[in-house]
Amino acid sequence: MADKSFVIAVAGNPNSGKTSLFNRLTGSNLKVGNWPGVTVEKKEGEICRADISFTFVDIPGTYGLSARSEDERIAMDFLTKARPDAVIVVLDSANFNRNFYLFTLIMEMGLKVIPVLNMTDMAEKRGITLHTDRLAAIFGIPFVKTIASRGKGISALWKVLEGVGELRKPVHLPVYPEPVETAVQVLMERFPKEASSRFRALGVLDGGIVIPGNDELRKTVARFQGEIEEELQGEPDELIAEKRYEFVYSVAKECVERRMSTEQKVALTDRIDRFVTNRYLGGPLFLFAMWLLFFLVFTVGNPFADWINRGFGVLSSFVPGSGLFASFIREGLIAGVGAVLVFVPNIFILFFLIAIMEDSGYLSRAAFVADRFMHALGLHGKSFIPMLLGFGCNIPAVMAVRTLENEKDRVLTALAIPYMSCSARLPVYLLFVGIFFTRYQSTVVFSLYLLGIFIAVLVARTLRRIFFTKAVSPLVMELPAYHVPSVKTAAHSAGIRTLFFIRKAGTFIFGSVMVIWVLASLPLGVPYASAQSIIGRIGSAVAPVFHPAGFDSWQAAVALIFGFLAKEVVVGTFGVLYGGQAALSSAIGAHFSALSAMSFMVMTLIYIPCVATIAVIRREIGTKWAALSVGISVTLGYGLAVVVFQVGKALGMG
Amino acid sequence: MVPLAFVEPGSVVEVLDFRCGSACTCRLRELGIVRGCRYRVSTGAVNRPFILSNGETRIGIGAGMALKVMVKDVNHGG
Repeated sequence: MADKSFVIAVAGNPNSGKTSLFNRLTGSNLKVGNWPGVTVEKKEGEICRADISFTFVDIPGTYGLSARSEDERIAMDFLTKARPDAVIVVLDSANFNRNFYLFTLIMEMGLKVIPVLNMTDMAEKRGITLHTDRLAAIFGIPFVKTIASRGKGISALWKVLEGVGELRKPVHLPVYPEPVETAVQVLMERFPKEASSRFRALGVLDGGIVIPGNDELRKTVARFQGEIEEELQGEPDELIAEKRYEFVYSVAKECVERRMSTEQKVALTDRIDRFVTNRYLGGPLFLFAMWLLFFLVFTVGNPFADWINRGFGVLSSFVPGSGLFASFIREGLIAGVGAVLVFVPNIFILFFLIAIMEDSGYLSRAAFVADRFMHALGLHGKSFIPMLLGFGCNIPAVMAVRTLENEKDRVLTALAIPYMSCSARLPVYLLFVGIFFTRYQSTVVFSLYLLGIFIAVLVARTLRRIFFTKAVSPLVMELPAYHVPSVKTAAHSAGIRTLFFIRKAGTFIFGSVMVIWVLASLPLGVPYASAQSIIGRIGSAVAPVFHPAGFDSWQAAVALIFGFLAKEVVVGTFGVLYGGQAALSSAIGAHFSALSAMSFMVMTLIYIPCVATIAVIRREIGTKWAALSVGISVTLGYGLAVVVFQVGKALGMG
Repeated sequence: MVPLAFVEPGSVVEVLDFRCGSACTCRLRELGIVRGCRYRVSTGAVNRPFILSNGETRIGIGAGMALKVMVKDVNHGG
């Protein structure tokens, strides 16, 4: 039993090695979830050491702390409201000044801090030495040097953590000019119960903290801001930031020693940058990198996926009998849940490769290169990656939107992804073009992919105009130094995300599969998924709706309903309903014309994201947006199918 | 004082002012781009994104933003 328990937040800049350090501290004792009300990943790890229970909370990687961006707001709220017992601040030793700026903000919150100077090996290589003894003397707290990716310095960090109860707060903080300090002293009294009152007073002065609906406080703040502006001839937010930077520079001057930096290394980084962000080469290189990623996800993943698929096939053959229960296990449980679990290898590889690319430093360059093009489409540079992955499978693609920092970009990208024609839709196209468009197969299929991209762009642009008129996120980003990525860290982060996928998508799919299987089996005694079953009757009831689009057989309606589960099922449904592969061609030839086949393919492309994609959209960006996604896609899919058929008919192509 | 967008790669610039809103100034500041700081322009051209460097630190700035960051060309040369 633990005698004491402490909550320790882990903060730091992006690319400071925060994740590696967090993993080193928590091992596999991880809980992954979302921060309340938002879609930013929250990781927590509990661990017992020296009779003390530690709960580590990984807060989003940020450069500052203000209410201006979602990640920063989450970090700030957690630190000021949840008041952890101490904050580990991970600092990239090679980028001391910028990292120390965030550390300064956290010190101003009046919390106990444990500064960790990480990646000291990289700093040394660049001729930068940090004097922890001088830092400790100035601030009155221990500074720990680590190389988290290799586990160095972690035991020293644990020693500090074990004594966290007796740890002092830092004794050296920035001092602001007279009118600012006066304002801070007065404003601090407005936050009497808040231990972070100094940080909050500064925050309302520099506009980083939104003043809660309190008119009197707002007036007071405005008065102080006016006084500061008049006396010091500058905006309060700039004055405060400048003082903080002066503070950082003064500390750096005392404690950071820079020998002549290794010019060669810098030149190499510049040379790589000049190459990968080159006006003419950058784009093609980026496309090649994306193609390679996409290629590996499917070529490396598919054999494993096939094994899993075969495993489920074998499993299914072990289920004896033809009774209701056997059918439930085979057609419902194994076929339905198996269809989703088959994607696990692809998803793992996808997240692994993204982590590798991110760790190497290339991903931020890629986003940088794609930004201009994506911007024209109303999306962020980084949106390109999830969009491209959508061609493989929409599920991991939507999951990949969490690599975007901005809520608005996440929402727009997640809503655009379902129009990227995933591999599950291909069998449907192949079936129809093989029957109706034998001479133009590839052209027809390619045009469907293009239509998907066109609609994705249209949807993203329109939604941006409707919902996100104001905020245009400017492109300013850190381009981290190139380094050899850590396979272990990448595998770890891919593993966590994959498990999360298995759990959530798995449980949701399981529920949906049950419902659909029940509908296809009832009433008792009818053949599975026949016209007399409930689903068959629903199909017959829905079929007339599709009359204007040219396909009104109940089987087509049922195929589209089943296709909601997974779009491959559209083909499977036709197979079952029209009596197997052999009879399929002639039956479809009889029920469809070339024109109605085209409208049916357009419908299949657009009409609805599959149930698992909807579940993932819901989890990533919320129920409201998932509902909107379904609404838009159903309307667009049906509308376009009708347009294709009616225009075609008017032109005499029926 | 010229917008960063008109500076040639290889130049060393001193940041003088920002012609954008407080949110974007704040973002620049958090990344270490403040008045008075000096950066070398690694790559960039009009209508193209810029990369500023200082030691091992690299900051990418979009083409639009590069028009809003006002700088002084301190030392033109390799």
